[in-house]
Amino acid sequence: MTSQRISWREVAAEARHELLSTLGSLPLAITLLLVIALASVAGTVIPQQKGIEFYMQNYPATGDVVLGVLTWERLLAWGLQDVYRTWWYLSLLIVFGLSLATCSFLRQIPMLKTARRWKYYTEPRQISRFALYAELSTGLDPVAQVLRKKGFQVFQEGEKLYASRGILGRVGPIIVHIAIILILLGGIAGALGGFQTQRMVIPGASFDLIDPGEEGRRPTWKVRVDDFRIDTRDNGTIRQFNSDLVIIDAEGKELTKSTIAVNKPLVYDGITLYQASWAVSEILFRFGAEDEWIRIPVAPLEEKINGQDTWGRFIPLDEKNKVGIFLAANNLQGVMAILYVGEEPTATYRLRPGIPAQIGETSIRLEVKEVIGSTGIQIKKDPGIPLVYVGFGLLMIGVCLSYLSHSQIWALRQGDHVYVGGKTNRAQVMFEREFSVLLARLEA
Amino acid sequence: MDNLVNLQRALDDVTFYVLLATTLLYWLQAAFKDWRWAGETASTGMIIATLTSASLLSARWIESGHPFPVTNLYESLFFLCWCLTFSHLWAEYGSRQKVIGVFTAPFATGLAAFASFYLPVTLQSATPLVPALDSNWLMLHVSVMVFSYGFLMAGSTTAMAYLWITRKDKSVTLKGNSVGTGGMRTAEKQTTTQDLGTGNVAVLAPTATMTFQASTLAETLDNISYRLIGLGFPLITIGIISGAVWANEAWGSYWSWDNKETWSLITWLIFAAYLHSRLTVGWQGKRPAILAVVGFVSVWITYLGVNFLGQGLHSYGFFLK
Ligand code: HEM
Repeated sequence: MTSQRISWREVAAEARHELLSTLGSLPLAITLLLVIALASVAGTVIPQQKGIEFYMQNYPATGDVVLGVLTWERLLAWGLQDVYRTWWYLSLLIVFGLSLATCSFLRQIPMLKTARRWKYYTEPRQISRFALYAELSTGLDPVAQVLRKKGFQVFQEGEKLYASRGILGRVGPIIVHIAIILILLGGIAGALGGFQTQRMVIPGASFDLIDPGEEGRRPTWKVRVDDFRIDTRDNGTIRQFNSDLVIIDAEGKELTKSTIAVNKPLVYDGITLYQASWAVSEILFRFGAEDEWIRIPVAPLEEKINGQDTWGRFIPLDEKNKVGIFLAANNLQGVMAILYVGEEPTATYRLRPGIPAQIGETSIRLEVKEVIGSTGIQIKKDPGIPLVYVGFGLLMIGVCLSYLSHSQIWALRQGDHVYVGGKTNRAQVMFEREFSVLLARLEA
Repeated sequence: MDNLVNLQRALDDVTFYVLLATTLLYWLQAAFKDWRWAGETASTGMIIATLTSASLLSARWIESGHPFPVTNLYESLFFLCWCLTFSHLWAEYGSRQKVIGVFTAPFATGLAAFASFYLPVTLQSATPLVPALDSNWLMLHVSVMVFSYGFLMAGSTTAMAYLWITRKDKSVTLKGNSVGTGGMRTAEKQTTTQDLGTGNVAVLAPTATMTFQASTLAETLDNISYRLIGLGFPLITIGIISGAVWANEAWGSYWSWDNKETWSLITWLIFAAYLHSRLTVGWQGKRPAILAVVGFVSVWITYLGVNFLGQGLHSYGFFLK
């Protein structure tokens, strides 16, 4: 007697089957959705991408330990300072994508086949099993007519009738799932093949995009910023930010010119340049009419002034008596000069460019020539965008289709009796009502 | 202009008081089953509140000349209030059930109260747009997002009504899901009907020729809740996508893990889990409804909580960070 052995191939086949059916299972999908949601919450509760000192201070290792376990060492070890880029978060997304792919191809596309299959019923008994069921004394043709008017596709063969509406509602989820896979793939393509960087530039300066680590991916041309302007409305609120950009090659030859603004970027060579932010970077001023112009850089202040981001710099005038002036600006039109005597601010003056001013009772004179802004330009290349946008489009179409309810109605005539029954997959309540209205109309 | 401003003040007060009365009426009707007039009046109250908040928003629209009146928190609150009353009416009409109002009306009232009494007057007045907000994609984004919150909230409050109605039942089965189980006659159905016993009228009275097994009250609420969330879900999807497209066109990144953005994703994931939990045999019964309530909390955090959590791209009135 020879004994049989299970071949390795069969073992592998079973393992594969198990793996795929687990990956494509709904409980796993729901768990993944909720786990990803929960992990994302962590990233909104814990401030992200701060310096190590921040976490040492706010998540101490001894004493008042957050939640009793979350010391800064653990926080950093688990990557909670940058949740969305940790290996475990990305792995969750990858498993999620695999789950979607398995589910779509192994379950849903076959399911769609089943959903499209239909047959006539030949026995009243079969139809009377439906929760919505009625016996009529009209013929079959009025039923067909009313159903057609209601948007059903009606199939009729002799005494038998089948009607269906909203089959697209069954296609919707598949489109949704494939769209999400495309978006995830687009995200991967962007992460692997693209780059993103920001530059703060003072008009007149130019910058390149070369990064020693990534020669192949960065272009060799440069960008020169000719001007930066802020347009305001009559009431002083900001309407628009504009930067005049010139793309130049390595020799300085102008390749193209464009003015970018918020919502109006420049696309060149597959790379997009956006007007993303701005800052006050320097103040040009002098004391007396005979003095030299002084150019001082300013820094962003921790606190807003009048609810606006403000930049400023302290200028000590008299070390001994602790007299000094704080120059601050929150737009390019003027400067606030705050006079300090001792620790306390004593008075605030507004200075307009070109108008010399006397600072209070002191002998200090100040004249601002210009507030120099710098423009914040975001530079980005993302080869995943087409894929992501196609995914977005399909996702929007797919979710809308998924709202449709697939309704089916069967009818059968025997003698002068017509048996009608039907069901729908999503909108039961509305279907019940529609069904009863339909029958009432037929009865009348 | 002053007339328009006074009109707005009046409309905003009226909306609040009407909603307050409506809430009380819905509660009365739930407590005393035979006070039908209370339910009828409450429905009328909801219609009035829908109209007054819509007029308020239109007056704003005319005053500011923006393409859409949702540029600050005050306008946004009233818009959400309108969306909630609107989707409530949709649900009440669809289900013919007043019990939904027990849960939707107080939240609508809360929104109106928050907007008209809590917000400082400076935040209430119409403000000009900052450049980043001046975009059609953004208008689409903001209005669709708030609209989706309205439907998702109404769906979740209907789920609360469902949990309330079935609070004494151990297990219940659901009808609506994409697989379409539940179109068949069930033997236990009758027993469920009796168990509920709390005056749940079948939607349709069977006539001689129709032998309907119409949905019970619990089933009706469950199905209406599912349909509301089913409508809110495409809306929030379109809302998030339009925001992503706008962000990408405006500053070159369709996703930046800003707090509000992340919370809208969280809400989206929770409601996706809700929709899938209805398909899963082991998860049916009350669990989807509980997920809907979790989603409800998440919608509120997305809508308001994030503004208190920290400053991001979305704190009202920003340029770009
Ligand atoms: C963010 C991720 C997802 C979204 C937005 C999504 C969206 C949807 C929507 C809108 C539906 C229709 C629901 C309804 O009938 O009311 C659906 C159905 C379904 N989903 Fe998903 N889904 C996601 C992930 C997944 C995953 C990971 C799986 C598989 C493991 C999955 C499996 C299914 C199945 C089997 C159906 C029902 C099939 C059908 O009606 O054709 N989904 N999904």
